Amino acid sequence: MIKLVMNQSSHKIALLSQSTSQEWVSCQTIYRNLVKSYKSAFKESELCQLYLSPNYSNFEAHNVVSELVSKNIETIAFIDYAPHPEKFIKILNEANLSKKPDLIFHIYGDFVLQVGSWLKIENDLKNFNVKFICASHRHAKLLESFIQNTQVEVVPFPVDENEFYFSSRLREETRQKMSLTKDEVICFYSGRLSLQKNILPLIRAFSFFQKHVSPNSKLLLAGPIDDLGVPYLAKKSPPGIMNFDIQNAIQSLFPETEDCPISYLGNISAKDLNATYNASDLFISLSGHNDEDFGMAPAEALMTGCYSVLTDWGGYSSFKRYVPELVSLVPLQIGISVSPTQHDIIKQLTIAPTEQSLRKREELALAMQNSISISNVEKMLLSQLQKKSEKFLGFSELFRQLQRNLTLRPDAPFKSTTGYSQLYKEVYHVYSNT
Amino acid sequence: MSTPILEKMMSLDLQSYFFRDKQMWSLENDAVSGMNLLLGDHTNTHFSPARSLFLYQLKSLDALSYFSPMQVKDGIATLLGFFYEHQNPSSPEQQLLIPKKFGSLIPKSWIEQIFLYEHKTIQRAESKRNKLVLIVSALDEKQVSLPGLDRLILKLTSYNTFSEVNVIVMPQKSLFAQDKIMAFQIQLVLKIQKAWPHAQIKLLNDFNSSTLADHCFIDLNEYSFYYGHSALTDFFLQRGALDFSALQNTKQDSLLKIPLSFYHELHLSKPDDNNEFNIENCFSTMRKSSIMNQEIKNHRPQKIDCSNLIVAPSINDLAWRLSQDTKSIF
Repeated sequence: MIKLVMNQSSHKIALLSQSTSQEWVSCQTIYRNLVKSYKSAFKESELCQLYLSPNYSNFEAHNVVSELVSKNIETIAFIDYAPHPEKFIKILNEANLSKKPDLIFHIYGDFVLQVGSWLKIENDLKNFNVKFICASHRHAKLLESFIQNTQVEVVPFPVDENEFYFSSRLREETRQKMSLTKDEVICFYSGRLSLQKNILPLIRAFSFFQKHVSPNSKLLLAGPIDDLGVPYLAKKSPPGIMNFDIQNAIQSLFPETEDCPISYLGNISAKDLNATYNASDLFISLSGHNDEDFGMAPAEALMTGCYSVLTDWGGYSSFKRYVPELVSLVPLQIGISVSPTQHDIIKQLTIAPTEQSLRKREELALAMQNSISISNVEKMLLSQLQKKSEKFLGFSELFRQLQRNLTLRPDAPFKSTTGYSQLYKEVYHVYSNT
Repeated sequence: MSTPILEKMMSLDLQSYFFRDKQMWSLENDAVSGMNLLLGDHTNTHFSPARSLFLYQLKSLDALSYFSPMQVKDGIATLLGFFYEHQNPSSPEQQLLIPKKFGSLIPKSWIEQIFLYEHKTIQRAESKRNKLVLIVSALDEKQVSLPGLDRLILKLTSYNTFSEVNVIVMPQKSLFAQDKIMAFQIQLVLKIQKAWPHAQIKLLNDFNSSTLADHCFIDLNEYSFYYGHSALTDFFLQRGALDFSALQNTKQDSLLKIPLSFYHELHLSKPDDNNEFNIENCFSTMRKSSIMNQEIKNHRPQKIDCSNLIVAPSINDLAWRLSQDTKSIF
């Protein structure tokens, strides 16, 4: 379903979203936090929320449009990952409105895969003032390459400062619970344990780091293990292979299982995640996933002031802009895979400051809060609403080329004989710093 | 014995790559499709370092030589069908991993080339398993009997007071006898609901992203008649759930333990060649009867359902008789 929020003085706003929870946990969190930000930004009387079913019909869209009209909504913000607004926009365009509402789209990583649906409403969108909001600067660049002259703004996905925060007491308690000594260095990865997240290179690099640089370090892993493979290359994995590969890598690198410095915590709750981020000295995520438009896990870790080693890829690079002292970026290459070299990972792990004072950590956590917390995003949304939107002029030739490719090769749209195709590099080069 | 098979399992990347192309090793005909439909999601692909399959899918023994060792997921019926058809291996390369519970059903001619396997959950002291998942995919009483379910419920209730009981009902995909199967499954669910009024019906997908280290699960597969191992069992083991049906197997006589996930291992052992029971005696009786022999050789089922499997009725009946002796938690 969709929710609409409105401002009496300038205009009224509606937030539109799906009537049921999204499958991806990160999308559920983002949606929840965006609603909180909008709710704190606008008075109850200015804001309304409306919903669409996952497979909504034109009839349902029509009813929602009628409700919007009856409430004199002037801006509609599409805040959820799904459903795609294709049918809704067509019905909205068809409606006999004296003044068409402005449209705000919060864009998620799957935008590229939805090219067909977006192109179907290209002409309808031209009748509206449209603003695309991306959660990171590089994702905004990606969007800019797909559209003509229309505004792409950056507003990070908000992180709930009441869920993720620095606490020296929590750090101490959690480390005690984990039976950690003061000099043990805890490196932590949370998120999906998936091929494109470069978990295996992470384990290999950590092994070197632990054996040759920091013998007191431990690596904790948390999150669901999946076998999504690399859909862009039609690289399908049978269920169970990622789990096996991780085990196999750990066993071969650390044959003495009793003293293995790598532990898997499972898929843990937000509360436990916050405690573990606090207890950790280093957060590491080496993702090269094409869908890395923001990075909720690093964002949450950074809110606790945990120094993070991240790939210089997609949304991750924005965190360095927010608090440079808290992030180091590992370059990566697009080849057979999208991954960093072992040398570059180890280099960044080695220079990472693992012995920050608690006072300094608290300062850095607050600095990150000032960029990506719900209350800060609230301010950014308000300022976005004050800026005038522009007429949508259409999509780019690159976007059309993308659609042709997806139509011709839906199973492996970016595959070439040597790994990723030239088109992939053309589309995603903005995700890396190369 | 253990090292060569481990090396073979871990190093045959090329074979694993080609194994993904099912056409290289799998028969494609109506009977195989019918069996796959009948067994439903149990036949789904899942990873195993020894390539896993159902023997009724196998194109030829030559394919077995190439992809050996293979992890067999068959139940008693199609396993016996395979051994009846292939009295001897045609090459020493043909190695099979067979579910440990079928250790007594291996013909002497095959015994050298067979390892027995079972999956073991790595139990951690802190795991409190107070949540239960019951998988209801039973086709008929050859998979689970109603008294068997009663006994299982008693065992489960005395094992733990489960704070959460989830039931996953796997719908039947085969077109034949769907109504009978559905009625049977409803009977099973009603019994479960009676034992645990707070039981909830869930979808497999509900557990996709979860860690299940506080869960026990059991697939209602009392007789292992249709299948011995399944993609669904693997799904739960991968996520840390404890297979309740494996709890009684406490004997640790494994030659080899291969870690498959953070939570479970594949244990391999050799079959006991001093086994009193000799399946070959059963087979030779059948072979001596030209009527039975002809029936088995000429069996070409037009349609597959619970009473008309890919194996001939005589093998089916022998399997049913033997399956009732297979040790089970029920």
